[in-house]
Amino acid sequence: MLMFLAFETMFFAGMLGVFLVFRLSRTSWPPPGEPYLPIRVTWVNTGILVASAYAMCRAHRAIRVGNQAGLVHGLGLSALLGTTFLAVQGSEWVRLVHFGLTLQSSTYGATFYTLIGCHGIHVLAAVLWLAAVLLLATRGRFSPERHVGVQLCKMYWMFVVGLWLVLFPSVYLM
Amino acid sequence: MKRKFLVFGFALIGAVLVVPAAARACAVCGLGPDVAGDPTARGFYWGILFLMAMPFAVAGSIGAWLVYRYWRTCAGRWRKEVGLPFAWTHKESER
Repeated sequence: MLMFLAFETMFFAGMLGVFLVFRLSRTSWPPPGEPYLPIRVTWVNTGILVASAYAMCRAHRAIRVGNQAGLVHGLGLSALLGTTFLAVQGSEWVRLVHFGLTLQSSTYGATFYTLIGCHGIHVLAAVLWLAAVLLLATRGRFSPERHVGVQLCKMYWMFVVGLWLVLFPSVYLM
Repeated sequence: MKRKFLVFGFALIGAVLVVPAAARACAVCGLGPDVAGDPTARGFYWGILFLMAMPFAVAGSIGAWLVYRYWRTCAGRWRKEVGLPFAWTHKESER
């Protein structure tokens, strides 16, 4: 899992490097004619994602002491918050497309959607994985001695959240 | 043998620091971050620096985590085998 996360880190580092080259080579930001990004809504969305990470930690802590109900509640809350994050991101993208920022409109649009879009796909994969783990948890498949599935899911979820905490300041705040 | 490698490694780092011109072999990196009138070079400079640092950051993080886990295991073993007479509380002495 660590090797997979290291690979993912390098993958995003490459894309972030492209964005940095483009961003730092411009004297004005956003480029003329391009819309401003929705920062306030994205701050709230970031809070939602961080809350989902906290819920995930609570779920892991619960199964370590054998609390099945706590595990199910924590995983469910994480999945709900993760889905909310995706929904808000999607709605903001629809607005940006309406304002003319698309994948083909400019380099700005291409780098933005590639970077944030890839992160969104990873969050979607994490939510689907979380849903599968939640299903297994409701069937009592995990115990304090055997909960590697929860641990791995938590690792990936933490990676996705940590990645957003790097992408958000780089893309939205810089 | 290990000491020779360490000495050689540090000597190499020292040589690069003493002769900085040799370290700036890259045509873009050698320009520096504040190239007047050329923001593209500045963008490339910071982008290259960021990408260059990433493998070290990733490998270093994994290495640091592995060392931390090893120390925790060793400390746990030490506490059980040697540290028991020095336990301060009932919880530490596992009574």
